[in-house]
Amino acid sequence: MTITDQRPGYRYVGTRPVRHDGLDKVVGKARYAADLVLPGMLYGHILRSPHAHARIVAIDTAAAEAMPGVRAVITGADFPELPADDPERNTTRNLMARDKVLYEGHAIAAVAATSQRAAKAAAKAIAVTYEVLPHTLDIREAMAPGAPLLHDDVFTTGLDSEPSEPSNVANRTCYERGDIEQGFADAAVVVEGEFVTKAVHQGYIEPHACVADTGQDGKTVIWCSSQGHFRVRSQTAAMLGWDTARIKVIPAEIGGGFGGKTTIYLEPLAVALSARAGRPVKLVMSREEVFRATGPTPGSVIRLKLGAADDGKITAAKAWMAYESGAFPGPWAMLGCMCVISPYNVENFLIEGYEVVVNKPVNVAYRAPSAPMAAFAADTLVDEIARRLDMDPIELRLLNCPSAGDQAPYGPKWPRIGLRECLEAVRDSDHYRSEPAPGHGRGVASGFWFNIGEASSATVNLNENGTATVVTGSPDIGGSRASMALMAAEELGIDVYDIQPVVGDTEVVGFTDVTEGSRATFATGMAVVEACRDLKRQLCGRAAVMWDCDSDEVAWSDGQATHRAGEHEPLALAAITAEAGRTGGPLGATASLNARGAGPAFSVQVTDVSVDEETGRVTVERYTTAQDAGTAIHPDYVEGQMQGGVAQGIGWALNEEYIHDADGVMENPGFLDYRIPVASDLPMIETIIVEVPNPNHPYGVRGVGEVGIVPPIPALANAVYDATGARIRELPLSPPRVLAAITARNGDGG
Amino acid sequence: MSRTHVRCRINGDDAEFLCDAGDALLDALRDEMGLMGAKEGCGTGDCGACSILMDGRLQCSCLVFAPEAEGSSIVTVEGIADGDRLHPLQQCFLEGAALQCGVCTPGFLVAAKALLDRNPDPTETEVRYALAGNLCRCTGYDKIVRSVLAAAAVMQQGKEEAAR
Amino acid sequence: MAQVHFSAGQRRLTGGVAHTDVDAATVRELLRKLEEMFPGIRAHLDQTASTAIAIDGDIIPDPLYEPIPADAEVHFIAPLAGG
Ligand code: FES
Ligand code: FES
Repeated sequence: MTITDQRPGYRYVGTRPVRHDGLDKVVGKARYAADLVLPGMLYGHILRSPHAHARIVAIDTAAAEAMPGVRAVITGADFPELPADDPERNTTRNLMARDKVLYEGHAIAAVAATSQRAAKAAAKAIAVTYEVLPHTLDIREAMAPGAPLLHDDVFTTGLDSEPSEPSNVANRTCYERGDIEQGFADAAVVVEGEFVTKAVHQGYIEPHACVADTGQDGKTVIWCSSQGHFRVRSQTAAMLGWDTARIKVIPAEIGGGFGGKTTIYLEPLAVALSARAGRPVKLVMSREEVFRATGPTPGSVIRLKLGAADDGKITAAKAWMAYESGAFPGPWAMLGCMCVISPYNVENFLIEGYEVVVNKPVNVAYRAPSAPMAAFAADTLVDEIARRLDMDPIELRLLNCPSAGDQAPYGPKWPRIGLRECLEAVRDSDHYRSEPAPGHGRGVASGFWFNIGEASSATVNLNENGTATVVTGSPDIGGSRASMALMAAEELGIDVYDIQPVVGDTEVVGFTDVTEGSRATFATGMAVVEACRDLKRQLCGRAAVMWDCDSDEVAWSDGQATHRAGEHEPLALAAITAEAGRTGGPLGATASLNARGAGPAFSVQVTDVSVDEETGRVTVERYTTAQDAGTAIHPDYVEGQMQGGVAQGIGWALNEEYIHDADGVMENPGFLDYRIPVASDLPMIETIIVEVPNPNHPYGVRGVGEVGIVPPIPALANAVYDATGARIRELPLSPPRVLAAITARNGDGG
Repeated sequence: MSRTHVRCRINGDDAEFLCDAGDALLDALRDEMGLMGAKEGCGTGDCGACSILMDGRLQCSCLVFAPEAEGSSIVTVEGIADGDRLHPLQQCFLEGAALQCGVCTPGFLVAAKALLDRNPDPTETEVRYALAGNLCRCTGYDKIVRSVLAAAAVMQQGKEEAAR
Repeated sequence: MAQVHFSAGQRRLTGGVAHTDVDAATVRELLRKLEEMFPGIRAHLDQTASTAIAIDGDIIPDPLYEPIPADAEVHFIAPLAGG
């Protein structure tokens, strides 16, 4: 179902053609990075730390180097140390440990050999002497005085006075407005709680993989699975101390990313091995390595207090939010602070955030990073307010809903946003209007995400036969080629299958930022539209040449040049391209831009669950999600993003978590024990695409990739409460935890 | 160490390859036969990206030792279309947008074929349980399940028309 | 005149000033003038925010040369990451 705010009559935008790259993907032909084989290719293997925290005393690679088939061995010493203020310094220290290993799985050395087996055996033969150090895995423990310190050069920023001692707390962020004392004094209801979540992994099905081929000219070609091959190029160059001109990156098909493939792990290692061996080198992670050395997204501890007047108006919010960032600091707490109460207008608040390093893999974005944990706290408490005041949870949210011109908690005024429309869409849905089945509990939640614009480039070339090739620099993770083709078809007025969308490598298309922050269809789409508009001007000029008139006399409409005064029969695009050689040469256009105005995204979701009171198992019985897409270019893939985000949120809420033993070793680094949802765990996920066009995009697009993962956690927690009367403030809502909460509820005189 | 010589049928053709005793069939298919359709998502039998049919039975090829393929008949995703004509499952996956990144798709197609071969008219629940060994992180399974049901309907209709 | 707003964390460097009007045509000029008004603030903004900025609600990463329209509302915010 789609709810539209009056969409102009588009011919292609909003239709559902079969995607251009689909055929290769259903016949097994699509080439992902691990599928590439080059002549003479070597296989790499990475030696990783077995310890959560240790000083590296010595690394002896002699035995490994002498083993049969071994062609190259590298360690951290083979990469230049970057200056302390270099933005990629931590990336390179994450890729290869230097003086210390900071988490179990931290890379220490890598080998290239003639077979996988030989590479593995050689990595094993590398002798590393460690001095094991005490580690810290828990946020609260890591923040406490006397905790084992990960870095002696991290001092907390953002404090009232300059700290004299290093700390695991990298920074403090603070957002404040109004008078919270007064706000709470005005409240008729005050609710509060501490919410705890664990680190979780993006869980893309394709492990990281790449092939690097370094030639004797000192140049290298990398094929890899990445959300952004231009970033692979710049990060690899930084880590190697190379000029970017020496590196060409060719994007392979990518088997999922969700934020986890916005940074690099393998590429500089493969390049260094390949440069040393003089042969191509392939590096492919095992699933275990993916869990131990990549991702995850932060665990968190959030204390939140909300006050509301007796009419339901939220009067005050006070938040204390600590996010773990893994071995190196990130922006996670800051983002959490900016998101936590954003779906609500609150006049008085104080929000404090703390970024905490712990001995876990370096955290990476996971779809709307930091927002789901924040929403868990906020939307659980909002549910409590609704119950205390006996109000409908959607009406309560509508009452506190921000709209254009209101000031967002993180500062700026909201532009036109679609939260209200999403709330109304859920309120009016069949799902919400029907009673939950007997014994089922219902939960509602909302979520916010910024969306981002950033740099994108596109080149559109018209072929002699009137077809077009659209080259962009955005890897296609979930159908963006089809969206690019649809926008080009709409602009040029030619059939969507007369357009060939291509993801270009770093040498054939202009710089393009990573496919992240829900930006590909928005920002790269904008570049495609701009290039097409340039082409239409050129086409009119060529028609003028053919008609021997002034180009002002020509207009472009519906895929053809028309003479304004009607003195000539319209010329179809193909008629103009056929003559292009004689009217001035081939037709092509390029646009590069830094997109502004990615409209914020909101989603509102409702779910019904049943809870087995004997086992504590939660079953999701029904799920509906409404999300503002601005304009859905290809509704199938908008729905796909919405459904995928919900499914991931359900996994996060019910099952997923990093579990470590006392030594800081991950105990569940595989899909058997880190259980992501399977088909039999889920119902159909009903989607309502809300379209409140983004005024800053030619077709009104907003990013749709991320916000869907924000509401599921609180929606499910609220539904579990509704079903059982047990409030659970710690994830995951796994059977033992739910059972314990039910038992405690019974003990409370329930 | 001498390598084992294995003879089998793959996607209807006679095939032979050399492997070591401990090699996974998945690696033999990919590295020896160049059939890159089956993917390795885990290597431990937990994701189904490597699904194949071996003598009509659904298997995780990462868990099968390559020498076990001797004398068997194997179908991979590359073999489920009928020449240029896509299998109804492939067609329905395309039309139903059942893939996003597509890395799980080969495994789902093979697993769904195994289901429809033995149960041509499954319920939604049967589809969900039959595909529970295959992980997809992108789609939330909604469009995959719908596409399998759609393919079952297309195939039923085809049979009825053929019978008429 | 651009109206520049400071978050609670940033106010430590402005002596508690929550917002101020600055006559600046670009972000670069704005940063220069702010540094004159509140010595040390520029280093802080560079360090903690990579100076991502919201001008009239539009979030702009890496905005050094960005023009600031007259009467715009400006907030310094955290750089965004995304999935
Ligand atoms: S690779 Fe075989 S089941 Fe995952
Ligand atoms: S489509 Fe990406 S894992 Fe299924």
